[in-house]
Amino acid sequence: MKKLSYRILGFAITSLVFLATVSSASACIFGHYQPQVPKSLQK
Amino acid sequence: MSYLFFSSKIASYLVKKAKLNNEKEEVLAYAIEVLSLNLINIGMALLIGYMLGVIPGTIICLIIVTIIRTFAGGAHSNSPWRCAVITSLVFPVMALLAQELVHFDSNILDIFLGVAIITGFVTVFVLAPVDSPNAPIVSDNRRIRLKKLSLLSVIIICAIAVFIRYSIPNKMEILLCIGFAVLWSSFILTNTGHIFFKAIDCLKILKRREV
Repeated sequence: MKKLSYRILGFAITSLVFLATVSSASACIFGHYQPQVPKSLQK
Repeated sequence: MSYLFFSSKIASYLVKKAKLNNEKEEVLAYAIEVLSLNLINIGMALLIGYMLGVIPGTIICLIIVTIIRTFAGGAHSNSPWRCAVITSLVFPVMALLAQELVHFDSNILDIFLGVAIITGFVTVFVLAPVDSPNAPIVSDNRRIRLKKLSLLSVIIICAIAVFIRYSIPNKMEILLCIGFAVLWSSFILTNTGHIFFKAIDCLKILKRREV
C-alpha cells in the first residue's frame, strides 16, 4: 500500500512538473489570468 | 511568489511527502494554479454555454482562442477570479452572437469572416508574442519561435475555415464562431485590449486571497 502511494505521489509530481514546463514554454495557456512563472522556468 | 492558498498548500504537502527542495515547491504551486484555474474557467464557460444552448459554439471558440493565445499571448487580468468571470462570459457570448447572426446574408458573413482572419493575421504579425510581467519572454529565440508558431496557428485556422466554407454546407455558425474567436484573440493583443483588462482590474470586486 505504501509503495502504491509513493508511485501515485511520484506520478503526480512528474505530471505537475511536466505541466509547469509546458505552460511556461508557451506565451500563455488559455485563461485571462497568468500566475507568476517561477524563476527556474523563465526563459 | 504569490499563489492562491490551495496551490501553495497542496504544493507544500507534496514537497514534504516527497522530500523535495523549495524551488520545486514553487514549480508545483505554479502547475497546480495553472491546472485548477484553467479547469474552473473551462468548466464555467461550458456550463454557461450549456445554459444558453450554445455548447458547440462555446467549444469552438475555446479551441480557437486557446490555439492562438498559447503562442501569441495577450492581455491578462491581475486577478484569477476576475479572469474566471471574463472567461466564463466571453466564450458563450461569442457563441450566442454567432447563433443570432447566422441568419444574415451569407455574403455579409463571408466578408465578416474574411475581415476577422485578415485582422487576426495582421495583429499577430505585428504584435505577437505579447508577454506579461508574470511570464516574461526572456530569450530572443523563444520570442521568434512563438511569433512563427502564432502566425502558423492563424494560417491553419484560416485553412480550416476555408475548408469548412467550401466543403460543409450550412455550417456558417461554426465559421462565425471562428471569426469571433480570432477577433477576440487579436483584440487582447492590442493596447486597447490591455486598457480593457486594466479597466476590469480597477473594479473593486472579487479581491484576490493570497498566501
